[in-house]
Amino acid sequence: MTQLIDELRGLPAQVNEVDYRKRGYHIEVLLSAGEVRRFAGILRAHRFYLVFVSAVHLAPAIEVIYQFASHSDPCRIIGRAQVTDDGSIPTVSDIFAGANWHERETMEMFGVVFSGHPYPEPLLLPEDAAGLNPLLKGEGGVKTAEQVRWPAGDGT
Amino acid sequence: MDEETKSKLRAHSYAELARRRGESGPYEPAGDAGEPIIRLELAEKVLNLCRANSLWPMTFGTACCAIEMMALGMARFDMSRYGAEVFRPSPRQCDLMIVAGTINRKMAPAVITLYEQMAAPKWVIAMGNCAISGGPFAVRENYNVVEGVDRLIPVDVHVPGCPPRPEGLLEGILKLQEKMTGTRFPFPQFRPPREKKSEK
Repeated sequence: MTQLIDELRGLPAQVNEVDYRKRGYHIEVLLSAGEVRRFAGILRAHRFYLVFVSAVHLAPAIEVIYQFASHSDPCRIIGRAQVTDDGSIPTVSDIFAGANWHERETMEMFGVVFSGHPYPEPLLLPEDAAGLNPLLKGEGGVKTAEQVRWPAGDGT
Repeated sequence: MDEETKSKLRAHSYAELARRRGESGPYEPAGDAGEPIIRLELAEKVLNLCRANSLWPMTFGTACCAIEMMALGMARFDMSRYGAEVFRPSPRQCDLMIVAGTINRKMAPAVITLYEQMAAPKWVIAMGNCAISGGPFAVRENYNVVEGVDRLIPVDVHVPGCPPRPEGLLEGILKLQEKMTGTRFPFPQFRPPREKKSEK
């Protein structure tokens, strides 16, 4: 496990070990959009599986969330990455095939572009609802990461 | 709510509308797709009686109202008492669509296709608040739920409730029979037994 944390720190990324009973996951990884694919590759090599891909509408940029878990170690890892300025982030659907539909759903719900996705079509919404992005917050509803995150030091 | 919707919600059936207007007789839709070219009044009457007592609903549950619809089909409420128990999975074999649940925008084209595939003459019961008006989904944030199935297809009877009790849907079917024939309980078996004339 320490080897995995060291590898994640070397991405580079900010890795926090947090209290599972408070947060629901053991390790929080804050990355930039460019390291998402290497992050997924490391977890693939450590035999983790993908739980979900989703997003949160935050200021200044939408944050894409990846959760991974493992059958061999009792460990849940959450990865948070902000999309780039053009609203895109690299796909991980070729590393974890299960990410395919999750990314399509995140795409239609938040308008995040997963660059390199093999089939970037809406999953749940009707075909004519392109650009609807229903889970984006309205004017004035967007908060910063600090406002929605757990306070530093609590639960870690 | 606009006036048109209000009046739709008020009138549970066209037969009731006709009764309120002081008219009598069955409701006859004007220019309906199912209207035959040759009209034979007596034959039509007999046929309507037969149709009303042998409604074949479609297995079309889209949400929790379908549970109540299933309950109505089973032994406790037993819609077969009124001849409407033969649920068919194919619209080609049905003449009654019970829209039991929420219809969302992705579903809407399929609902229209299914309605068009049904054999004419055909009827629709909108069961539950979702199918009537969108129910709990008729809010400002709603982006995906069709607010009332009567925006897509013509509805004959609205059965309110969230979900309606099985008796409610049964009443809807009875209302539909009333609309089709002009009389409530059109089947002879529901008439009170005639008093026998004493033979002297």
